[in-house]
Amino acid sequence: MNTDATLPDPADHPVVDTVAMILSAIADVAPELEPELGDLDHDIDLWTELQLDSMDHLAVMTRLATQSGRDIPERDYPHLTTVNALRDYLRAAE
Amino acid sequence: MSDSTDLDVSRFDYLLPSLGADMDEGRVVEWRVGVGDTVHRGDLIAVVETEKSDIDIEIWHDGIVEEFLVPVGELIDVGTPIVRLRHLDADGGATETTGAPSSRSSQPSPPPADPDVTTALLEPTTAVIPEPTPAVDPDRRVLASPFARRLAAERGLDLSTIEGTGPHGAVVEADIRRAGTAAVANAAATTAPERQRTPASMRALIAERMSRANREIPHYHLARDVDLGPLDAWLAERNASRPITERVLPAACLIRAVALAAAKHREFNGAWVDDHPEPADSINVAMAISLRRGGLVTPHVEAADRHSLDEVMERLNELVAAARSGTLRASWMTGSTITITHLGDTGADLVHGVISPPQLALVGFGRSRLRPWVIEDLVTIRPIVTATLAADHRATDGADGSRFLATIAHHLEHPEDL
Repeated sequence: MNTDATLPDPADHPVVDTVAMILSAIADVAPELEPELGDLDHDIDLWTELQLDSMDHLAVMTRLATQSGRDIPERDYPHLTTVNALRDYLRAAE
Repeated sequence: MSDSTDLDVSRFDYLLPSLGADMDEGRVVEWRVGVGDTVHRGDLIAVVETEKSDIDIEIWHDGIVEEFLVPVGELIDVGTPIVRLRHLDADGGATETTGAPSSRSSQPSPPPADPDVTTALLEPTTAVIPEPTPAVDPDRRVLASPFARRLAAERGLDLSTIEGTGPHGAVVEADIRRAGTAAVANAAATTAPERQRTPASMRALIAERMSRANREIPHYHLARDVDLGPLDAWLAERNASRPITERVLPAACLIRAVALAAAKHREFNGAWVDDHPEPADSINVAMAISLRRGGLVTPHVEAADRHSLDEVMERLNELVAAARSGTLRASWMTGSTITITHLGDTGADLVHGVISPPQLALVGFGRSRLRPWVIEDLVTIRPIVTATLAADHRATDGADGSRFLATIAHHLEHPEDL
């Protein structure tokens, strides 16, 4: 987006923070991916894109569940494949 | 070796420890101490390169470093003396004639590798693989907003050098601006050089290990399709009633199934030593964990047959996290008795494995995929995984292997008993 660097909209912050939480959970689990996360397409299947396996997936989900204070049932996993889907999911719980 | 050493009770040699059942040689790539340094039990004294990773090794006795006995970088056998130390006396100074095991001085010509001393020195239970160096790794655990990240990238700033004031200490835009140009110089100065195994060196070591396996072990390979439907259904129901931290993944079930089968078929659990198989008492199931930067590590779940599924899952979580972050303990790498390689859901259909010497078998699992499956006279669609066995033909035959695979399949098809 063509965000004006000097005047970020404060209303955007909750969104940004949820995304930051997601990206930092991934970076925690897969430190070597951290440099790539800045360029990650938020609408792409991140598990495939980043080659995260089932152990990584569980570790990321566990971090998100702990930090957001909500459980993430396995039946919801199939929908939670992109950063934006995760963001919407976690924000809906707030 | 000088003959004075064998009789000199004031000194002792530290021998290259085995850091895995399949390790019989290694090389010192870095000394963490210098000649004249006083070291204490538990101090890290050297970095040793094994076929699969670099491991920090710790000394198990107090002493003063006198002499390095091997050059850095030279390939040496396990058990080779690598450094000579002088015992400390009670005051922390060097001892000339006391403080050493009296048994040694009473023997006319004690062997250089006195079993007692050797055993004591061979137990570096808390060594860790040091890459990436946790304290200075510039890429780890930096919480930052994407915008801050982009801004930092544009300005060439290292996020790890910037103090975050956002939620959870996240680096936000204001922090980047505040960091300004000062951080540029700072970033360059504080980004410590990271000692990392180059992919080429890890490849060379894996090449060496796997060449030995194919040279020395007459493999035979078997395969068997397993219906994972019962396991998937059982796990889904079990996990649905549990918080995320207590959920179990199929990988843990595979470890349990193999461990239980190995408890019944002990001839697949252990090592080939000299010219005969040596079945092991404990069933330590190693799991091949691939590293994204290349190569793999194979830490094990100890006594996997005697721990519950939940305990195995807990340990597996620990192992994977440690493997990813480079903090594996030497004790997790030592004493594996059988290995599993699990390709996962994005992997190939089946794997013809290569045994990790001196083990006797490797069990492989391909990806689980929906396949037509005949039950009685009906064709149904089931999630199928192909389990494979690579086994040492010196120790067992195809009929034994078939029974072993059948037992593994049985356990996976009766998950409630896992």
